[in-house]
Amino acid sequence: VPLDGTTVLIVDDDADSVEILGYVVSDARASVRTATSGREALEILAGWKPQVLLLDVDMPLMDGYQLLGAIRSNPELCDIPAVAITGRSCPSDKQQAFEAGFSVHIAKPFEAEALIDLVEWLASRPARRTRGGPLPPSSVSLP
Amino acid sequence: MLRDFVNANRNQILAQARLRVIERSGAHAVRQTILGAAADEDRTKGLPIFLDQLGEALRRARAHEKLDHTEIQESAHQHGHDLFHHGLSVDQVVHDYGDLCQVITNLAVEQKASVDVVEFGTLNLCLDDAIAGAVLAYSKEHDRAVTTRGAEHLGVLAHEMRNVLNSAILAFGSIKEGVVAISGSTSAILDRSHLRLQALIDRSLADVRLDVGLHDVALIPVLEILRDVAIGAALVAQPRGIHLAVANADPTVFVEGDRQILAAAVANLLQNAMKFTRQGTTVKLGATATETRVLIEVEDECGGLPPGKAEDLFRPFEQRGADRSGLGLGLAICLKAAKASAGELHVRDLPARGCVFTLDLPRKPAPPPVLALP
Repeated sequence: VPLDGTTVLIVDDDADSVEILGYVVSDARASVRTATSGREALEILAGWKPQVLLLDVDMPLMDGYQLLGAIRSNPELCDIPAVAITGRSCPSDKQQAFEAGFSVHIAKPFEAEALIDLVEWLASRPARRTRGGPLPPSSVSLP
Repeated sequence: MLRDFVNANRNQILAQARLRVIERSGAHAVRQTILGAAADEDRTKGLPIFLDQLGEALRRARAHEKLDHTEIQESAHQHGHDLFHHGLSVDQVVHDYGDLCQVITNLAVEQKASVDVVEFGTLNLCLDDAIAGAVLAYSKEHDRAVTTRGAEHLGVLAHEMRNVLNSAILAFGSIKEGVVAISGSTSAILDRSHLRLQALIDRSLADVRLDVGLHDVALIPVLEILRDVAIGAALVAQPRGIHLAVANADPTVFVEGDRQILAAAVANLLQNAMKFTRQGTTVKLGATATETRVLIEVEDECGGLPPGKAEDLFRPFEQRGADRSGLGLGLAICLKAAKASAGELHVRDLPARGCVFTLDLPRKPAPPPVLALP
């Protein structure tokens, strides 16, 4: 059971997207909470610290970059690895994600296994990313 | 000599050319053109430059020297480039030069200035060069803008399709594994993803048809437009905890337009409403009619519009309350659809509650009933 006990927060303004991502990660035995806006996510994070953040980049009112900025400004939460989940796959989109502080950029569409491998890999790393760690899943972009 | 005449009457020529633009295009055009907006240095620089070049060309013609067509074309090229970016149409670009020619010749006649055939020919040659240069640059900029817009739209479409496709792939993956029931919520996600993909394709086709003017115009009962979009919208509303309330429409109320384009416009308004309305609230779809107008209204409970110009919402890539690019084509397409159907698109703020988008179309008389013959 790859994600047994791993805690994950999923944030996406698209109800179907958040539901199916939640299902996929929960099915791998992760403990999942979901939010459909940046504000809702910050309310959850005020009382709960997940091991991995899966954030949609394109959300109204507060996009994924702004949300991560708000999360990173909290010393308690600044070390949580964050995944940018987006339909954008240009090199400039990836660069923007990394500059905003995302650990990984994953472009839609992707298979469930790729996401589970990624969450497992991120959750198993030391709190802050260091060079020379285990190899990341092959289907994602890293800085 | 024409050269001396132009030099002596330079200010009057500039002023009269400006007046001609006012008469031809109205006050709005004056703000938009090089000939009118004295405060806008960028828009006024073209005319005096052309007059200088004309003076030099007349001098050369008189001295039997070769005319430098390149210089006029190059500065006119820059002029055409600037005018495109100031939002002028190509006919305004041409007419601006035409106005100048008229002013010079009229004034010369008025003052009984002698203009010989060679000078008149030189004036026409210079105008030809200038118009050709300006129109060429204008066309290039226009083509570039169309290409850029097309690429942007394609990028948005790809992005939106990837989002929906991702949900479909993950949902189908789960179903394929046999761990979820075929009639369960995961299958419902797959169902909705298909509908959303269909809506995206319909919207894109409507956009393309609007751009190329390919409209299949017919009389359409408003009731049927609402029915066309309500079924798909209800499927999207339900999992989001949104109540979709569709009011009964009068079956005798008709509008004229392209059914696919109008349905895509209303579907976009609904999609927009469901994106921004708060969870657990109601989105209302309805139509009212007067003797001459039909108002198709979509009301949401988004909490009210953000400060700023409501019209900005109809610009491509503009979204309520979020300054980000890449999304927000839906309302721009609705506006195009409204205009193509001789209608308008309005938005009304309901402060602290929500907003109402109204597709305002001309009402058309119902077609005569088809009689069944024995």
